[in-house]
Amino acid sequence: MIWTIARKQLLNNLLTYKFLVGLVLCLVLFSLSAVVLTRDYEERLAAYNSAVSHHAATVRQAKVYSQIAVTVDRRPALLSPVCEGFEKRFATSADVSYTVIPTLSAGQAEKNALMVTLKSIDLVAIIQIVLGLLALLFSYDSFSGERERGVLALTLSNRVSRGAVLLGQYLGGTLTMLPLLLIGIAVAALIWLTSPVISFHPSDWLFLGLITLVSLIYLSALFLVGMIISILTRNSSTSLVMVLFFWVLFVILIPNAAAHLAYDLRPIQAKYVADAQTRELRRELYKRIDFYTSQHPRPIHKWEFIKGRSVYSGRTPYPIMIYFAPREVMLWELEGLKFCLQQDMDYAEKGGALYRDYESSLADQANIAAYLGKLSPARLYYDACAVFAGTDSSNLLKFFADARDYRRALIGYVQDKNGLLSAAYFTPADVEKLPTTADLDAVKAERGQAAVDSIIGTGWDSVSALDLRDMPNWDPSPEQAGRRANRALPNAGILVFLNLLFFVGAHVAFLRADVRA
Amino acid sequence: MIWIIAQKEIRDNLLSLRFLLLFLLAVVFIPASLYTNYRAYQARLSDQQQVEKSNREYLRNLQVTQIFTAANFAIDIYWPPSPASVFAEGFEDIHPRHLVVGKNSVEYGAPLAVGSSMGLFGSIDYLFVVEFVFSLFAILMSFDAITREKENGTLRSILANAVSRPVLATGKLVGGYVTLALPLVVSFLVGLLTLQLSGMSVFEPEFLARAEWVLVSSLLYIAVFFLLGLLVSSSVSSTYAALVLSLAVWLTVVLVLPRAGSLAAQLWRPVKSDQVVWLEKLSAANAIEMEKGKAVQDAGLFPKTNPSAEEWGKLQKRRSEVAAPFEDRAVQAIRRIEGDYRRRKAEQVDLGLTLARLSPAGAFVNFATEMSDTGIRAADRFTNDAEQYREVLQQELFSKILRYVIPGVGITMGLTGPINPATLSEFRLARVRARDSVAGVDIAILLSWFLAAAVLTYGALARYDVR
Repeated sequence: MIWTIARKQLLNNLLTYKFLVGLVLCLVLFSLSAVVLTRDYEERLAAYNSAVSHHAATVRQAKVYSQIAVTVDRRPALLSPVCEGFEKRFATSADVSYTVIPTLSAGQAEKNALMVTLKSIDLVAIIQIVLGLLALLFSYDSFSGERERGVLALTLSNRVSRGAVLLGQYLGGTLTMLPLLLIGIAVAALIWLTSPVISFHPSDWLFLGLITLVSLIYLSALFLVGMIISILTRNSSTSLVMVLFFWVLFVILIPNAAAHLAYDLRPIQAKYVADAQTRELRRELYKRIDFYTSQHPRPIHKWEFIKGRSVYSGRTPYPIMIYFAPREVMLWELEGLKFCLQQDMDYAEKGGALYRDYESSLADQANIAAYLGKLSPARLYYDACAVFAGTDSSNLLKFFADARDYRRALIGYVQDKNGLLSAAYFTPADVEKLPTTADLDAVKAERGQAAVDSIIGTGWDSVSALDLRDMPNWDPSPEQAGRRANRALPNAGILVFLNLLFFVGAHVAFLRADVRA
Repeated sequence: MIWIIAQKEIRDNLLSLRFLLLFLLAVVFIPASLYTNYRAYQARLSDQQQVEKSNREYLRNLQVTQIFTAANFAIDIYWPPSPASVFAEGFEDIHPRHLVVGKNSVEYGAPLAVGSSMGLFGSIDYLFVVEFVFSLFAILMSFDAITREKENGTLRSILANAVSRPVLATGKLVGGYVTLALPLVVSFLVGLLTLQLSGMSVFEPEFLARAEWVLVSSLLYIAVFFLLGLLVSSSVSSTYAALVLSLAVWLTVVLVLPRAGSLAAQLWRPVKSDQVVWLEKLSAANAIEMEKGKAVQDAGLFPKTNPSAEEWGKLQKRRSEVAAPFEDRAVQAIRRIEGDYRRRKAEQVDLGLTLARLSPAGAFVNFATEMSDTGIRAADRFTNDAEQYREVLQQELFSKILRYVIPGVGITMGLTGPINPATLSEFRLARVRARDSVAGVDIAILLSWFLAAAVLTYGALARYDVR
């Protein structure tokens, strides 16, 4: 009997104006979203690829260890057209060097005026809002409409239990939503696959499937809410208004109000405070370096004997690159390097700690917003999909944590090669074997300028690049599929629980309801 | 007679569930959104003042050598938040508030905070509540105005009296609109009161003028949707069909059309991405730097021996003479690339905006964000003023620093004149008066939608079968 009722409901729905309009709207919105977001993804991927090759080329040209400064890039998430999440909130690259610790920074701003009020039209947003509305519209008159027409009493006069009627209505309604959902996702997937740069791996298909599954669970939850409202109200127009009120409140207003409330409950100190404190730290650093310099003045030398010199600042022994210099100068620079670089790195650690506080307060705030948002099934749904798509905040924050780990690995690598606090940091020459200024003067007096030039050498052009083939690569291991699915489990689980709760609620309400018109 | 019908409508609506729910939503969310946005504005303002203060300190204590050692010395400027942003957040939270004015270009600085608006719809500001919630409820109030009466049989009774159809339509319009506008006006006033109590000076003439314009445009906006609902109701014969059609109309006008506008603009007038332009500028600047360094080297101006102090002065002068044409070329090249990109981007954005403004939602959003001084024109003004500031700095600062890239040797720098960081001109953003922010075109668009819907409603009702 359940199937009969379900089939009747399904056929009823499919033949209505409502369904047709819903189908057309879905097709238009899904294809619009897919087209726009695919192009956007293509652009982002192209920017990522050019950034990666640009950065790789820069590193390959390093001739001394001081030049190893890497910028690591975050690959745009493949499923970000499906669920944008925090993808565009955070920066897509991080600078990694000896004295710069990568920390959270924000992404570039949106420049389109009208994207301001409706931030994203990713697939999940469309399902959350438009299909959610449709689900409610299919269910609001499932009971009140039938009661008004007197049909409900007729159905129950047969040997069919109320539970069976309920289940039949529910199945019929949810099965109506299924083609809308599947056709929409199929159209979007088709548009993505026509893009030359998008290629799905098996795990991506898996996650897309999981997102579809969670979408179905979400829509069924909303359908059940509509059914409950329908059972509890006297006539269709009242249930319509209540359903729309519920939609506005729970799908649109509450998820955003939660974010605002979180902002109030856990206000974040603005990043500029950490910036100002870091600037203070750097001033301290400069003072220390200046003090060291005043205690260790540069030995007397001649400029003509120095070649290929690029330093932190004129008289300070904090070299970046020196091709050739007399021994006493080089030794002075080397001692200075050991002090200044160490100090710089220590101060970088202190600055990094400040920014990590900022990062963790942001993460806290995001968590509070997420918890408050659990009041709304729409928020639960969006958060679960963000985890599946890999665009939730903790996955994106992981990028910065990975960048910090990579920096440590790089520093360890350079230290192993004895390139950090040693001459190899800034010069290819062997310092012990260098002549002093006096030696060079003698050579010049005896054998002339040409001899001096041949001792000094031709310059950086003659130095070959460092052999960095065993340098650790930036290769953050992507999260395992199992772990990612696990992380979405709480939200998805609550959605399933809500479904059961609402169904039981509907059953109880229906048992007590008066079915006469 | 119009007034009698209107009275009946008002009485009917005031006692209905719809009105109650709308009133509840409005009176809770509008003052709440105004208050939260005010707090956000205060936070942004204090952030800004703090950071500007610390910047001034920094500039005052800056050593000239620090200017040298920075690879690309630049000054940070910030976009001051607008008090009227309590109504429409617009670009306030997402457009770069921080620009870095350097020698070659004005770049986006790091955002002051990772956006606080972490919702799908951005944050709930007043604009959002009116644009989405009120328009939806406006359609809900009117979608069954005619069809419900037809189904109840009362439409025949009314028209059996000497009531002409236009009179009926006008009465419904007046009555229904009053009950719709009432929650809006009441919650708006409650919101202003809340702001006043929280310490904002609401009666300051500029702010008050902007508030008035925002209210007027909101009332016009919801009138358009009310009429659209009424139009749908007068065109179909069953409440059910009216519901489906009016919701479809709402979704299309509010969600689809504005987006379709910007998409069409992107397809019609594509523009190179930021990244590509930045790379172009970089390679042009580098190429000219190389040539400049070589020219200075060829002129023999990089001595092998250490010159004396006065020789150094003469040397610098000679160097800057040789370098001058290259510097000019660099500036011209960058200006050309930038100008080209900006022009194309502006064309694309304008086109997208124009197309989107054809829909009442787009027009309303544009009007409200301009009124709140957080719209695209305000953002453009900031960027343009930043460019002008760069010209000023070019004179005072950048033209005095010369940087030479000598091929095969390295990088060296020089000064052609004295620099005193503490006396550099400060950046000031000109504020626009309320009456200059009025985007008349948007009001005209809303009015034409209103009139078109009115005319079509009267027409549809004239042919309506009332049995």
